[in-house]
Amino acid sequence: MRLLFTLSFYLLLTSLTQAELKWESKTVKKESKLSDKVLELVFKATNSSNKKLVVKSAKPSCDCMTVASKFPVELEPGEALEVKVNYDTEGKVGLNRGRVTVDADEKKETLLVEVTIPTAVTLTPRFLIWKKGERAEKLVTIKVHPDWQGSIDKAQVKSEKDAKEVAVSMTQEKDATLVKISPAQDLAKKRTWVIISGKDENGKTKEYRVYLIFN
Amino acid sequence: MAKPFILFCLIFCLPAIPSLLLRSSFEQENKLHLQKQDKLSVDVQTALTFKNILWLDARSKNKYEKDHVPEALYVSFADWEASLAQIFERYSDDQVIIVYCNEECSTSKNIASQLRQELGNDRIYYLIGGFDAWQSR
Repeated sequence: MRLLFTLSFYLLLTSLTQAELKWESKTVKKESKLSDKVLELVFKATNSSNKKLVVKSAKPSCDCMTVASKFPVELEPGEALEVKVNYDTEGKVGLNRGRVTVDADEKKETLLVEVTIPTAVTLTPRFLIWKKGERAEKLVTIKVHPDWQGSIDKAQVKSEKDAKEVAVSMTQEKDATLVKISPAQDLAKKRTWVIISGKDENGKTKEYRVYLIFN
Repeated sequence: MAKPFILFCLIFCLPAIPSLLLRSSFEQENKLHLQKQDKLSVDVQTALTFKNILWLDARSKNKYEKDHVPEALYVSFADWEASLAQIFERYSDDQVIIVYCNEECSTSKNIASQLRQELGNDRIYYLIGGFDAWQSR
């Protein structure tokens, strides 16, 4: 009985005095815009104890992130903390995850970053493969992000010689641009590509290739 | 003699249990999140059973230049057109393509997913555990 009493008293005492960060969320998700080169994410926490707390550091798990907030930081009881993280979106597409480890009073907390990065232009598929003897027409669909300011202008086979063997045409549909590609003759063991060209957001010429493999 | 020892253990160990449990469950969840085996992933043991593999290295250029899986190509979303051109040079129908990066990065998964769409081939995977897993095979 005496043991139980001592234990309960100690647990109550430690819960009251233990310095601890209470996080609004340990996961922050954000979707970037096409124009975002760097995305800022903020983790918010409060010192939920009645004791002063020292947050020593916040370290990202990859080179793609930097922590903008300065550490160490002393937090009074009830005081709020913001950990600002900058995520470099350059060269990344799709859902990307990373971690930030926060060291507060020798206790390490792991925070999760989830960033979704859009693509400006999507061509599907990029490789077209014909079986031996096959001469079917194949389609490439080009979709552009609604915020993208560039253009897709023309599609042609890489050389004049190849243009005699492969027919290419481009049509504009409601939601996408379609490129139709068909071999004019049997093209066994040939590899070539179609160049789809246009302008990027800065008016510079931009080229995409669709690769053709004839088995 | 035993009583003070039990009391000592209770006083010093019990308060740490809830935080340890919470932390390990969060880390476990995080790890599962990042390494969850799905149809797009392959572990190193399974990868080594494939005969014709085209390895793609999705780590940083510096890390690729220091060390990489033999004959692996460096690929990056930052220069996706050049990456596709390299893949085209080495591509064949009977190949399995495996993309790797570091242990906890998402790039290899995103590249594998993008390549499945763009190449219309579902024999494209990302490597669970990344380059570290390949090194400690």
